[in-house]
Amino acid sequence: MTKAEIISFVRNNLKKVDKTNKYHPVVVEKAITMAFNQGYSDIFDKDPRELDNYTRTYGGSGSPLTVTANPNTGIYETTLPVPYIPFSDKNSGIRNVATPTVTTTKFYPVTKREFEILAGTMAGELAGSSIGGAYDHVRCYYVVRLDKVEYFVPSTVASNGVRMDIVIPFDQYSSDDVVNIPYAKDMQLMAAVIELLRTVPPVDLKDNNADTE
Amino acid sequence: MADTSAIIPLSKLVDRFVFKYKLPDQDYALYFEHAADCIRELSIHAISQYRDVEIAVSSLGVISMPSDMLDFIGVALSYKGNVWYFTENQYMIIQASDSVMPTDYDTYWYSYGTTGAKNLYYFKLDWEGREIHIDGAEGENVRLQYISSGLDTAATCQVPIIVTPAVDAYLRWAQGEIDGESINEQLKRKRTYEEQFRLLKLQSLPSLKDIRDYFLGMTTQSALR
Repeated sequence: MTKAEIISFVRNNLKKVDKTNKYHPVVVEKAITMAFNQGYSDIFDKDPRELDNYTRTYGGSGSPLTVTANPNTGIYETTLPVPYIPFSDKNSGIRNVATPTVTTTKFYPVTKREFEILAGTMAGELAGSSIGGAYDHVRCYYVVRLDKVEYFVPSTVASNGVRMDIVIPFDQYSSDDVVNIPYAKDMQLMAAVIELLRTVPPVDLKDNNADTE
Repeated sequence: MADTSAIIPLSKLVDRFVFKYKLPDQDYALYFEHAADCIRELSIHAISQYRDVEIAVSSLGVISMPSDMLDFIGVALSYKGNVWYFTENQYMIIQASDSVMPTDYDTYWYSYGTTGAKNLYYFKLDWEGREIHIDGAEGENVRLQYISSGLDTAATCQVPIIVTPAVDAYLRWAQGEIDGESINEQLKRKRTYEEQFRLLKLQSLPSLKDIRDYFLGMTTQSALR
């Protein structure tokens, strides 16, 4: 289903009091977002790799995401194109980072602390080096931050940019985007959204200036 | 395309370990670190990581030891298809500045290396400073033979693929410690690694043909009367 279809389905299953703006589209959208986040979290608890089915790829359509060195810290980084849903592993909502085209260079997530000490470890020192100007089997590491991703990466790899697979919140999709509803949770999630919205108390519809309804 | 090489990058070996055991990406750097430790241990005790490299001696007679050099075998000059080893001189005086070397013991020579019991090329190892001081081949290229840790930072670190079972077993053992497995489970994995280590050592034994040649080399053939 597209995002618009999901919102429409939910609105059509709510009490018809919408002339009061009780179920404003944004409120419905936020409620679905919260329910979907719970659904993604359940999938993560089952097997984090299955979240790959719910990611969107950025930088993979011929325009890689740029990786630039921060002028103050010297750390290579990419500003995230969209917000992500956080998860409790090092990847968080950035499930995969890769070179723009498939190469032998691979990216792996680390914590910020691990990132800071990588240069003194074998994992960092043997991460890969230049052979005749070309990089082969380079291992790069990345840290997911609030609004950016930081990299332990050679400059040659950085200059080519990256692509990312990100689990994005429901409210970040466009209306006509197809959204994968978390696996086997269609009924459960829709019921949760409708229940969440139904519990909002109705507004006072009588124009009688009374303190009580 | 499948990789069927006899040597593979260490990074690929760790990739395959994570892949085979359905392990999360987030522990990759930790496994890489343990894999490097394992390769170093195997290089010292189980597989012969013998390196023979051509290396330049500075004009002041100094060779910087390669970063992966764990033990020294020899330093030599190549001449007419053979190597001619230098002689160790423990009494060579190394100046504090490192740089001023004693002059050659002799100003002439007949051939490379030893000629008529006259040593013309000397070396002294300085493990603390990770340098080899050469007397006699300043500014020349020499052959340095050494035992490597197998961990080369100057290029993609390559390891023999036959170490895969031993490295996998080592990483499974490390994984048990990282994940807080029971002592029994950890000991089981440790024993598996020791078994793989033992099997790997068998590979470095001489072949049957080598042993046969060795025994035949000790005998003198003569006419049977």
